[in-house]
Amino acid sequence: MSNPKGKSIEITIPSDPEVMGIVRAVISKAVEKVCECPNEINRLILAVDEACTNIIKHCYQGCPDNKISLTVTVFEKQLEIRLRDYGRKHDTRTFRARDLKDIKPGGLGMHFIQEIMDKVEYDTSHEVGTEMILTKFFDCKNKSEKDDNEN
Amino acid sequence: MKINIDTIQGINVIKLIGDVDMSSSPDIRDHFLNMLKKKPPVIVIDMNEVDYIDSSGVATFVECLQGLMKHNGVLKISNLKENVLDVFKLARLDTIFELYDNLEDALKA
Repeated sequence: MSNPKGKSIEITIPSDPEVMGIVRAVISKAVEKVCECPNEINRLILAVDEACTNIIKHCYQGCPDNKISLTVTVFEKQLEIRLRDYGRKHDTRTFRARDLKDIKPGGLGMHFIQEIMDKVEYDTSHEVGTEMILTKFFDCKNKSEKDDNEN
Repeated sequence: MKINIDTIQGINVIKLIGDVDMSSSPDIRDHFLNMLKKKPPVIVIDMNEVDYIDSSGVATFVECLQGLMKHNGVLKISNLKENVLDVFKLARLDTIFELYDNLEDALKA
């Protein structure tokens, strides 16, 4: 896969926690295109899951009848995941991971996202909702690059 | 998510089967709360058939731990798969919970 523009897949999912298993399966397949490391793959799945969960909880107040648009773009050594909600806007400057020294339930999602992803950005220019952009850079060779080198 | 509750050697064992995420955590939490009503000295969570956990799952476990600590109870977690253990490490909770490689060790300790 040597297209500098990358290859994208876009899916729209309901804001229903019951579908997160399907989302994880889709992300898993996409990440496998650019990385072979099981630990990295699992962590990326977690980051996307947490981002979707945050949208469901905070943008949609747990209502399962809304939608989340998920765009996964695979570049040569980079993965970009865009999550677009159409719900309540928040001041993204307040999105911070909490202090882990305080042992308490909750508040870990943002920490996981920030720990796992190399870049976490927000596009608040949409009239409705927010777009979260998660970027991960890879050092490991992707499968197609390996195949190209072997041929 | 399937949840099996058992008593082995007099110890409450809750076996989780499936993914521990936002959809299954509330049900798991309800089971924990029911067990905590009886103030058990020990609860063991068998994670042998859990392939995934997210922050909502971890939060549920923390809540269970805090409930047990109120009466000096102990929470033990056994059979964590590598990717699941990684989540506990990311949350810096791998040293807070008592973790065991297998159920037998958790029951003996």
